[in-house]
Amino acid sequence: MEAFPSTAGPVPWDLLAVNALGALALGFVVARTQARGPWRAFPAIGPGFLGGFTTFSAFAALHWSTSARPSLALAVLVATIATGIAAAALGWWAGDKPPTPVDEHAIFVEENE
Amino acid sequence: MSAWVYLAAILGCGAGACLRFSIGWLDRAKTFPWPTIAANALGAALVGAVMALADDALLTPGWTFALATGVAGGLSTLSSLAVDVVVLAKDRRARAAVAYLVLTLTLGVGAAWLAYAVAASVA
Repeated sequence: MEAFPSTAGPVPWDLLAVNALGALALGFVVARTQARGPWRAFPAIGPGFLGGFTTFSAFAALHWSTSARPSLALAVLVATIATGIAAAALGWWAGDKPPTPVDEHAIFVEENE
Repeated sequence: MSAWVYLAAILGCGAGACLRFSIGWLDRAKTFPWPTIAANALGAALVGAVMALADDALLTPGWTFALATGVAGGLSTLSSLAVDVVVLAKDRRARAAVAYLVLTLTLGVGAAWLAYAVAASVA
């Protein structure tokens, strides 16, 4: 839940920070669940809380929801996704102890229980 | 905005996340994260439509906040997108990761643009 209605200027820095934090945390808990076995609270905390915590729609529609120029809105969207991927990779690295091979199918199932 | 608006946004966020989960249940193969693409495009469309209606003063700031920040915020997700890209990359499915990103970007922005245009013309 992004409970910050607005910030000064067209770039939503608070949402960017929230997204990076959420991606970092989800990367960590997914990697940890993979390495350490199933975890009952995972669906609520992972896709539930962290999925609701982060947002894509606010960025995809940035041009229409703020006064941001299309080029700036697109740049912010791409930067948000890039930051999120970097944060998720970092979270994955921190949570992947012991290092475990990726079971892609199991992760996609787990993310949508 | 009153406390009720925040309560509505919180409940809306939960409803949006439930909808995202439900879209995920439609996917049986679980080899490509198209439910997240669909949920994100749907959320972006919702924000686009809500903004068009808000511009014409057809929605109060409270409803705009509850629908755009609450429902669309819960429906769309960036954390799953980021983690799925990392997972695809770790599995050496570079083409799938790139396709995922390109589809998310084009469908997300396209859906917001289309929904804004449709809602603005109807309003």
